[in-house]
Amino acid sequence: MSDLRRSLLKGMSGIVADLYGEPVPAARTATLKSADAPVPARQPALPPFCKLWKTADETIDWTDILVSPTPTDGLTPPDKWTLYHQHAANVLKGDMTAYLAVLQSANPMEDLMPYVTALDVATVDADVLRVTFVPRQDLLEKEADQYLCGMALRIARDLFAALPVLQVDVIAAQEEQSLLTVSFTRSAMNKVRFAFIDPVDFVEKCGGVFPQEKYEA
Amino acid sequence: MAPLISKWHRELELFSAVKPLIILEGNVLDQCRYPVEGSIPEDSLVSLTEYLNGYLTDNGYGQVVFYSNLVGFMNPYSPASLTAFARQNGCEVKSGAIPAEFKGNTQQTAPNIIRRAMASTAAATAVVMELASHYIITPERMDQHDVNSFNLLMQSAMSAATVRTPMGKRQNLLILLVSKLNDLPAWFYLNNPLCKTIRIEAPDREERKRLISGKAWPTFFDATVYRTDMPFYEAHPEELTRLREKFVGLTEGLTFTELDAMRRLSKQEQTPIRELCAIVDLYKYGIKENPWANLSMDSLRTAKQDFEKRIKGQDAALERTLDVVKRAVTGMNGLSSSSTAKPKGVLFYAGPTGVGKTETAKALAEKLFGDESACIRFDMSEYGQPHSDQKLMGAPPGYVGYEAGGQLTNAIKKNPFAIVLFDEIEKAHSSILDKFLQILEDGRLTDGQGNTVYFSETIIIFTSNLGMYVKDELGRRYQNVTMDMDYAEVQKRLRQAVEDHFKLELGRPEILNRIGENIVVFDFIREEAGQAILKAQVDKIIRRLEEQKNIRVTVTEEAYQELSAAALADLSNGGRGVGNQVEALLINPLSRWLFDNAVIADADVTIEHFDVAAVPPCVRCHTGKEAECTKEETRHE
Repeated sequence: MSDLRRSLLKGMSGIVADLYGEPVPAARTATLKSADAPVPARQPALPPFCKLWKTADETIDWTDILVSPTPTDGLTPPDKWTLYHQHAANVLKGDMTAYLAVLQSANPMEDLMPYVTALDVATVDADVLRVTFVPRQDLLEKEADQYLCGMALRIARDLFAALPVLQVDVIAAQEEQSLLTVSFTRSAMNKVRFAFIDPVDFVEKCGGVFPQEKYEA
Repeated sequence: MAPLISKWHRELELFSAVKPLIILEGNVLDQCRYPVEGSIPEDSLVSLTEYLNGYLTDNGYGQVVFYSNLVGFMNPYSPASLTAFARQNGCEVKSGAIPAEFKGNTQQTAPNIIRRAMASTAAATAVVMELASHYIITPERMDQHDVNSFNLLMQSAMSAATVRTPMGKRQNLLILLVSKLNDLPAWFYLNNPLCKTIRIEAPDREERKRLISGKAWPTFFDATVYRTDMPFYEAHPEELTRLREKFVGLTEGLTFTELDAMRRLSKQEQTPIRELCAIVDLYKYGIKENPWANLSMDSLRTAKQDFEKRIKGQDAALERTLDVVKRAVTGMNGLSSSSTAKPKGVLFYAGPTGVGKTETAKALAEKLFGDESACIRFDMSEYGQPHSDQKLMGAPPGYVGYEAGGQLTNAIKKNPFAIVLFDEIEKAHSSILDKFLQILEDGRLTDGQGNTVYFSETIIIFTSNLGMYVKDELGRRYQNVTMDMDYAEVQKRLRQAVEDHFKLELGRPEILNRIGENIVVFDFIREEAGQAILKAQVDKIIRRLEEQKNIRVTVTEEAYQELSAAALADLSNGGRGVGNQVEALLINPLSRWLFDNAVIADADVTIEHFDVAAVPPCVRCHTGKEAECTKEETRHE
């Protein structure tokens, strides 16, 4: 019986090899395993940051969440809605503790973490958040301006979507040296078609400051 | 805040316990405000079916299903309820619904399934039949299958079982949702002791107020706006009350679906709380900048002087007109009524012909909206036929011209900020007056295509010559007011005549009531005003000739006196009569003289004499080039 099975599998491998012109992938993995070859450290497969600022998280509709304990939009998962509902009243009062609680539980910038070495959010007051991030050296070496501005813009967009603040200050710093400082206001972000803007231009319009000419190490 | 329960909900609550068949008619396609906290949060806006599902489920009905003749039985809000219903009645759920035709002879038609379910005591069951207006073509054209199906529904109601539930006894319930009751066969509901008809109206003032003041209030705003603006209003609750009252007034007649659209629009536009009412404009007219809000107070302060440049000798009428404008600008136009969706003002201009009634309306449009074309004029003599209302409002579906819409509704749709002038209103057919009632009362009108236009940003002006002539006991016409009467007497007689026309002749005092005290009587053009009109017209001609031809015309004092005496001899035709005289005595003879003497341009011409007795009238002039002042007379052979 086992001979027959082996023979069938062998036959199938042959078919796959004929179809795709290469050996069955499973066999290759197995070979690697059997040889105990060292597996190289895997770098996360990042989408290029050139599109980072074009998308953003969905806006949390705090006023809708405030009045209903269950989802009214038919889109937000009930557990997330319930979580937000617990914080809604305080968020709408501008309570900074509630802001941080939401940031911790919702973690709106989780998807941005692979693009930075470190990221820290702080509340200045009910209207203003301050974000400091340490850029990744490898990304900084490619297109520094695009990377820093795109990141800053995306961070601001995600935070404006998450909390009812009026301003987000973003600082990119490396080894205690500031690379970029910019303040985004909600009014400046309204109705901007982010898919069609250049992040560097936009950051400059928002008064972004680039203290250093070159970022390369 | 105590729950606010609508009348229809109270009726449903009351009669669902005693009647197995309930017909909900009227505003059934609209959303509803859920009035109490339950499986649906209080003050949420939901569709009627979701509302009924929530209400019935919360009241012990274990199986609530909705039927549509296109889909079958379904319950998108509680699929478990549908599954239980299917199991109990021997049906099968396919793709989220139990397919069942409305007509047919099999046991799996909807009325048969409903009959079984209604008779069952296994679980308290409520069947809601959606869009029941569309199950048959018309009640008059039913075939035997249609009749059988409705018969089965009636039998279902007759055999409705009472079921014991944890919340007490519940009677199985059949609810039909129809837009119009007469979409159903009359024998089904008339004199049917099992049936209760409940009408759902558009939200009244209290409902709208509750929506904007209750739990749903924060949802009208973007979170940032709410967070930053609300502390001010918490400190100044009277401001919030004022704002809400205004919003409630402006949304008179709107459905919950429309109010919900405004809510979402406000959020999308991140409208500050203080600008909540601007959303009503944005929704109704597509713009936020209301020209009424941008009116210059300085410009209005000088309005009377500006008007007097165009309209002579009508001090009282202009004052009354401006009173209406001032009332609109100060926001006091809605104080005497419950609705601020009414037009900004209504004026009824009465008086002799040619005294400046239409001109005042145009001047008002220019003053308010910066352009005379904002005065939309309808000559009501064109609307004298019984079917003329279709010209104004648009033909109903299926009739010629349906696609074109109505002249009035189209004009207001295009320009909602306007003076709407109905000239010579007494010549319109009386059926049109009914439409005016709606405009004056509700400030809205729906055309044949179902589009609603709003008049709440307009001033409506009617003009009329009513009362100039009246009939005596023998039916003979005689002049009711004459030039020799003073203004007070003219005003008294014309007002009386207008009132008599509406009350006695038309038998429509309700229209007069809507116009209220806004009948403005224009005086005759008297000597002094006539002089002013003549001077303005002569000056205008002289100015134009100089601008266009560089011909400088001078009229000697004696000649002007001759012209004045002739032009103002008969003022019964008002300012228009003076204009006609100027044309006959000055424009025609002068142009003839200029042509005959080859004075085409660049000349100085002095008019020395008007020969008004000549046929045709002529002028004697000389040009500045003639050193001897050769006097020439133009006279056609």
